[in-house]
Amino acid sequence: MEILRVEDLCKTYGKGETEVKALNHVSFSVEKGEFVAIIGASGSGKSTLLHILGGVDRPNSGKVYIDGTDIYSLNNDELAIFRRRQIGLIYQFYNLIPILNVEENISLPVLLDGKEVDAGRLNEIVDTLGLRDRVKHLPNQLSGGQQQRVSIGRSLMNTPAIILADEPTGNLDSKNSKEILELLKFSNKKYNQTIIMITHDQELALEADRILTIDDGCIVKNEKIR
Amino acid sequence: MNILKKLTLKYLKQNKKRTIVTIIGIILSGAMISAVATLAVSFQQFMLKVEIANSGNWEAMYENVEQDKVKYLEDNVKFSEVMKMLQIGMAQNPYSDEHFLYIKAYDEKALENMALTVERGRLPQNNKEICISASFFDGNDNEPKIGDTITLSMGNRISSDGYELISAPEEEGETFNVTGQKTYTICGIISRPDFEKSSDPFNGGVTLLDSSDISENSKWDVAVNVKRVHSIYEDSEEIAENLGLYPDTNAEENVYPITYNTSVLLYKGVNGTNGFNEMLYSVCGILILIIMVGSIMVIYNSFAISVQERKKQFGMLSSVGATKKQIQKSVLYEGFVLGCIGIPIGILAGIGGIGITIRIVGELLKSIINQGNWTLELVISWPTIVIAIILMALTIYFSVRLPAKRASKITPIEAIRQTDDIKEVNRKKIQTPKWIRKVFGIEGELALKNLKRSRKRYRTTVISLIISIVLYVSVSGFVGYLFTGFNSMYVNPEYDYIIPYSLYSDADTVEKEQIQNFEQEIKQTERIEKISYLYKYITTATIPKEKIDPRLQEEFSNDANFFSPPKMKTVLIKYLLIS
Ligand SMILES: Nc1ncnc2c1ncn2[C@@H]1O[C@H](COP(=O)(O)OP(=O)(O)O)[C@@H](O)[C@H]1O
Ligand SMILES: [Mg+2]
Repeated sequence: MEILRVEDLCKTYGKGETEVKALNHVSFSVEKGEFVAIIGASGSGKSTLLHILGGVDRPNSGKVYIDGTDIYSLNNDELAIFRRRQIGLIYQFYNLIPILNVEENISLPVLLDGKEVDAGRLNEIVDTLGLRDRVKHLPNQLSGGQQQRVSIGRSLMNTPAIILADEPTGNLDSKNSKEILELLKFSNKKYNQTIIMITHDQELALEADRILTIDDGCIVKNEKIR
Repeated sequence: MNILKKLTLKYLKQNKKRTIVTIIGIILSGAMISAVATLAVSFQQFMLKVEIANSGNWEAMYENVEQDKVKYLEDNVKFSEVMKMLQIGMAQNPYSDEHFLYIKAYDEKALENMALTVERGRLPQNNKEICISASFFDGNDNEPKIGDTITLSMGNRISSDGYELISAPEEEGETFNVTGQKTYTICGIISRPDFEKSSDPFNGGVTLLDSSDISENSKWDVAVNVKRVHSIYEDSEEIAENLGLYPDTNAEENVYPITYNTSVLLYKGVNGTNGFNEMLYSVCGILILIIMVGSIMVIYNSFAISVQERKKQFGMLSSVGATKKQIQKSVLYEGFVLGCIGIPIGILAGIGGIGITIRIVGELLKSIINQGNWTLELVISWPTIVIAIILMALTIYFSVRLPAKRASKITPIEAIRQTDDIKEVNRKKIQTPKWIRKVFGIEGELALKNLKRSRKRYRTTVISLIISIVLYVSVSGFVGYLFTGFNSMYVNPEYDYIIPYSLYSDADTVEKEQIQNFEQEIKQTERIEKISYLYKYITTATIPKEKIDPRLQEEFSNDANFFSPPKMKTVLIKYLLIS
């Protein structure tokens, strides 16, 4: 089943001489439960693509369908609610709320929805991520790897249609990077969770089901690994 | 609790310094608003008190009420207080045959509330004692004294054609029909009571009401205070109609025999205003508006900084799926929380502050004003407090609205890009002159660069400081003016002598010269501190007869001089005020 379809996305920054074509007619699609890696040189447009997939930035033209919904036909508030329920975002710099503890940070998408936190799901995630003895800690009391695990937890909490991760290991040492990748793969298997991950680490990319290579705003390679 | 509210509270707790500064801003603004409002209300109540002391603590008076109708008034639920005055009747003046004495018996409440001012002696304590209007004693050769007993012939003034006269001026051929005798002991001398007009042919006497004086034919004047003062005119007429107190048939309009204490009612804000209320309220309104505008700018600045500081947080929340509305609400909630803390403290501080001011100034005023023993007192009224709360809520709302909107517009991208802050800086903008480093060292240069970088924040801080100072000065100026204005109402302007001078423009120059010489002389006199001149021009003019209203033409047609003054004249009256 197709969970994500991208049609002819274009995005330019700036005007005139300083104009940058960050995305240049990008199209592809992703099946449910797939683990896709996107690789490319720095400045090739990976983050731009991910932001547009995640509904946090708008394209100049083109369409993005997530689970059948054309997300840019939604208004801002609808898009925010859609993002909260259907998209999990993971960033290089974790982007946790510094004054909320681990538990609260993980529960944030549910809390923003004004819903009761499902204690069973929270416990399961906390245990899976190995954060059991850290639930009451604040982000600045955690290591980088632990913080990234919290942000993975947050992205999983609402069982979204798709998880988008922008260089989730970019700020971590190799041991922690391995661990994070393992966790992503684990949730991909366990929950049949669709994941798109940006990396410029060739080795990590090889762990994915498919690799998209992007250069100068264009998808230049689309190879299935397994 | 909602996660965003929780987040806001946590943020406020973590940034105690900024939170406290904002709360102080709110407190100051609340204090200023409530101080101005409370001072205005206190003044207004003080003026009302003085007015009540002058014209009595009553609102409406039903006149000539018959005995069988008094009970209806006494039991009326619309009244909060009923004061009864029994008409005892007219008496001949035993010391002079020109004036009469008109006596009323007041009940205890009437004695207390009808603004009787005892000049000497005391008020009557039984129906054998009487207080008499001071003017009664003028020109009486063998003046009675307090403690004297007088025996009066009571009766009616009857005109030559047989009507009873009360207030009518003495007529030729009127007679006095004696119906009985009454003996009173004079217990006090009072200023002219309410029912005695200066044009009346009688003086007033007041005794205490005793049930033995009441008969079937008794007539009363009943003064009342009502519960709902704003509908007093409608309610009173309705009562008069129910009572069968019919409009005076002689009068052109349907006027019921009711007298209103209009000066007191005006201070109570019924039917229009007198100049005082209007002035007080408009000045207060303008002042409060200025305070609000100033406060909005100061408090806005505070919230703008808060939003700036939390920019990243809002972006993150947005990326996790917080809607614009949710983010906007969370900033508004911050304003709500700070308001809940700041407003009550501010209002209490304002009332407390003005309370202390009034204490001090009131004592000073008391020693200056010869208006009896009313002091300016702090009046705390619920409506004032409620209005102050509403105004403060509006102030905070208008301060927070814009920062809240701005916060909701922050995109997740802005939060994701860590380097945002640095990127924005324009190199040229933060260049500093070389001498700065020489004079202030590298620290000074960095400080200036920082100021330049956050130029906007720096500017708003300076602006809000200036606004605070301007506000403080204008509020204290207002308070000062109020007291000075009040002084000049009740205390004479500051001069010791006044020398009026009249100068006719057609007078010969010699007179002018004389006056100039005189002025010169005064100027040179020792121990004169200050001379002020007050000019007043009075001009007469010739008006053609046909330009005058025909009704007046009739009136003046015989007076030839009126229409043809010999010469146009300008009179210059010059006052020299000397201190
Ligand atoms: N907000 C922006 N304004 C201008 N140019 C931008 C902006 N964001 C990204 N770009 C440009 O778009 C291109 C793609 O950027 P990005 O998607 O961040 O690349 P990657 O993540 O692959 O390193 C780059 O040339 C970058 O400079
Ligand atoms: Mg990138």
